Amino acid sequence: MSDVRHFIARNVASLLRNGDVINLGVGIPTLTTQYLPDDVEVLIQAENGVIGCGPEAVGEQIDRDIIDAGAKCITVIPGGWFFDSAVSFGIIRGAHLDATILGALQVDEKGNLANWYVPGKLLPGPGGAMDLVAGARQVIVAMEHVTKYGEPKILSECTLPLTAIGVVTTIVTDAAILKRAELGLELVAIAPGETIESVRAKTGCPLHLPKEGQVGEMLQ
Amino acid sequence: MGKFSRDKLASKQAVIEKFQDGQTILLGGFNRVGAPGTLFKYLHESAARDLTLVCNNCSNDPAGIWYPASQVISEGRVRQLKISFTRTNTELISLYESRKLEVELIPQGTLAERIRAAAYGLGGFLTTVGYGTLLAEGKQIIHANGKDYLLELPLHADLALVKATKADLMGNAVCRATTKNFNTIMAPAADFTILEADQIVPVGELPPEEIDIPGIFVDMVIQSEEVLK
Repeated sequence: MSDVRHFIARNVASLLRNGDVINLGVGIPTLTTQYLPDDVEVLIQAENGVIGCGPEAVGEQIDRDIIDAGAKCITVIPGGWFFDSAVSFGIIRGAHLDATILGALQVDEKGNLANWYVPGKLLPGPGGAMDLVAGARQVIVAMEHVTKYGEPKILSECTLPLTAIGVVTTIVTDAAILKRAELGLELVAIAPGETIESVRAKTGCPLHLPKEGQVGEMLQ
Repeated sequence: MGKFSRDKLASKQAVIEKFQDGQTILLGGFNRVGAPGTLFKYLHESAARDLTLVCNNCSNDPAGIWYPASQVISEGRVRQLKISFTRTNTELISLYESRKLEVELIPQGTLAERIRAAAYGLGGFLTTVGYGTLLAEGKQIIHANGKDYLLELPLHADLALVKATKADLMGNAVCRATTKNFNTIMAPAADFTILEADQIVPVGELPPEEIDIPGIFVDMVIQSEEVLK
């Protein structure tokens, strides 16, 4: 586990299925595609208006009219498609995405998400953050389990201003994979070196054990 | 005046005369891509003030294409900014905090759809985006089909400044790759639309099935001064 971000990305990748259409937020989510198994091919949407995002463009591949939502020049795979922002967010809100993968400041046991605004830090601009979680079948949060000060980011109730209510389906961190279930958050898997108790100790809300089966181990 | 003309090519002066105090102006583009940089310069050169600008983002990087538009804000000529992504403009926070600028933050997809609603004659739309957040303040909540939605109203404008890759003299235009973004939505949403094109071609040269912006949504066409490629 030399690089926490890559560890998280590898485990997010393990949740995707062949044929999924997904949107990737900036940061850890963009690392996900490097870890897809050979038999899993996904189609990537960027909300500025493209489906079929390929790797970053280099050298002669660079076309200044082709960027992703992070304004990076990218390539587009054969079969890709360009569209305007109304179509793009129609795809998102209309539940035509299988998964949105994004970072978060806080998530709570009700699936509430806070990832757009730290009061007093910046004039917050939501960009596409609120839209991106409105329709996808799975909203996967990829983040470190605690803040850099060691405080829990997974809570009974978010204290930061919300991005959306009740939308998060899965949380993947450097310590565990959690799924939202009826009672709250369920511990699906834990990282090598962690125990159920050590994960609970750094989580700000109760974690339930799976009703059936055992808590698994995350991919190293 | 009808929207049909075979020659909509306009001079810089004719464009500058269209900018008036108190207007609401839509600015196309997502980041640098599809941004009408020449029209931003003309807007900056005009004397128009007390404006409402509507855009996805508005970077104040002095080397960037948005800089002239950001300067219109810096100079205190903008009363209100309706914007989705603010982080590329480092001045907004101080202008906002000193109450020199009103800012309405709008989720990106809601921004696109509010402009589209204005363009296509809708009285608004219902969405779950923003429900339960700070951005829901003051908005009407409508319960329908077992769900709570925010009522979002159309965002109409006096002027739209949009960018295309190619346009003909009737204003029919093609926006290649990811330059479509807000341009194709904004063009029909204003009383008067000015389109900047990298290349202007004779009527009949663009294949009808490839048109992204129909000419009836465009009032003036100008040649882009930007050389980016």
